[in-house]
Amino acid sequence: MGFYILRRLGQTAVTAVFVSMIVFSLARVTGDPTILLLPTEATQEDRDFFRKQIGIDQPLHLQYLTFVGRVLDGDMGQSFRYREPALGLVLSRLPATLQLAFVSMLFATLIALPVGILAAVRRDTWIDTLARWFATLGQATPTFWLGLILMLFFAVHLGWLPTSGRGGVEHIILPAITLGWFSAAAIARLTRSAMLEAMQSDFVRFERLSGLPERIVVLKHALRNAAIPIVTYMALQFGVLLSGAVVTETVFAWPGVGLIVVDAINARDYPVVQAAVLVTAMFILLLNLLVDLVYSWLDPRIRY
Amino acid sequence: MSDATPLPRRAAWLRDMLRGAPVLATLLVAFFVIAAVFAPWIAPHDPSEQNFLASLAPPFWQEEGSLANPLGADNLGRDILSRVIYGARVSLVISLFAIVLAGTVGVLLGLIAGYAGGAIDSLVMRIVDAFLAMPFILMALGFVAALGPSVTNIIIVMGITNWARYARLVRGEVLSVKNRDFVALARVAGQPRWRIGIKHILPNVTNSIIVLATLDLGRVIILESSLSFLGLGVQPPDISWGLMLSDGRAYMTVAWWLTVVPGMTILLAVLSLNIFGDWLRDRLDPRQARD
Repeated sequence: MGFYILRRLGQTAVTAVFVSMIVFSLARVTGDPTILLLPTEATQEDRDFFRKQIGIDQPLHLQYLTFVGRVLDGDMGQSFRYREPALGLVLSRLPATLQLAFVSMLFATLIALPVGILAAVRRDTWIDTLARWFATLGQATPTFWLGLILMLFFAVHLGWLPTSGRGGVEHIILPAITLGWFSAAAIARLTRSAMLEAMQSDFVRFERLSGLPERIVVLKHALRNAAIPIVTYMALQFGVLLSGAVVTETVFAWPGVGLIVVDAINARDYPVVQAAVLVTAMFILLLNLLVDLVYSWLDPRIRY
Repeated sequence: MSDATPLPRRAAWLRDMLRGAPVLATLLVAFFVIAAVFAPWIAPHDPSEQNFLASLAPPFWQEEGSLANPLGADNLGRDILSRVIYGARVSLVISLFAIVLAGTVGVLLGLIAGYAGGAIDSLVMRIVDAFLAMPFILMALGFVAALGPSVTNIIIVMGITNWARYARLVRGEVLSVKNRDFVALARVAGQPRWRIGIKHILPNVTNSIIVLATLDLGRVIILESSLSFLGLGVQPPDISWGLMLSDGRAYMTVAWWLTVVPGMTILLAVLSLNIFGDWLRDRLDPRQARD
């Protein structure tokens, strides 16, 4: 167990290094920043001086090490646009994105679990067929389109909910459904197959034979057996929600990390883009690590 | 669970679900391909032709609608049906090339990792983990913003952001066949490694790759349309479904068809590709099929 944890931590550290390289390369593929940052009438000397100032006259590996050193100090550069530290700017928007992701996950779970369980229990009936259609459609719906349609119907036509912004409970309903829709479909699908597998296990068959009521067999024993893969999958879906939030936030003007990133990209504000990508990627990496550790703790047979 | 995100299990249960659905889906996929290839002959109008008399004309089944613009016209009076047909070209070209690129890179690295083992394997797999942990859309947005939005760059970016799953799939398959007798025999017979990789191992993983690629087509179409919707994908005068949606947004309350038609098109294309992919998986790759 101890060895497994150490190995997994080591792997995550190496992966984190590669993530930082990808993020570093994001800024480097943009080409010569002096073209972007200096006025067009700047002379060659001005440009050389500026390159020296921001350190891009150095060899690439030194630039990378400087970048990592700064990141470890919590410095990801200044936002060109807001003249504020980029990392602080992204972190200040993180709570809004996390809130949206949590509520979306809640919505997805509330839909997916009953649908998945019911589909498994009533296998090959119309309920099952309906559930499968829900899952298939959910995974083919473009998020931004769903957001627009929901907005058009519930906010514009019926006027029940606000079209955009962050505020009371009514503000989060449409964005959460939009963002959670895909995950609801995915989790429902997995719940169904995990439940089917659990219900065919010898253990559950035995419970059934011993005369326990079906309701208890399903909800107590089969569900408990299916819980590990379902919960794991949900944790992984949370990462999907975090990165998918960009689109939903843009549609509903939800003031999270995604919205600021799209703004930053349009304004060529690369430090903010880098900070947002790095923060989200690290968050997902840690989430994956946590899932693996909890998984191996719950089910000691699992070692990869 | 050292593998970050498991493959979406587009389960085999679609199989019994609709016995006719795969047929319908295959027909729809064929329909989209034909529309894309023969767009100039099929489309009723030039997709960029502006006709201000037809501005915001509704679809034919609505009052004031006419068969001149069967699915209506946009604010500049451009025919929506023709634009949807031409949009299929862009979507198809981008997703096909992107997947070929991602697949080639991923398959090569997966073969190398699985076959070499040891330090090389660990190294490649950590890079794979890093790419799988990257927030997908954010990374794509960042690269497109850096390289500049154009069809070629979008293809490159989709390649960069999508290869990791192919590498992981192929590496796993290589590990499972590497020690089988036919590979050992080839080795004993003195065949060089690269030849064993290409002649004996690759054919065994082809089916899994084809299935993953088919299911990926839908994902890439959605991703491309998301980028275009955010203004960082296909640029006008090129036509993309995501771009049409984004343009139609301003007219959402007065002319719903500007957003509903391209949205439904994306939905149908992705849905039929997914159903087709599931069906293909049942045929080609029964091990991955799950109930």
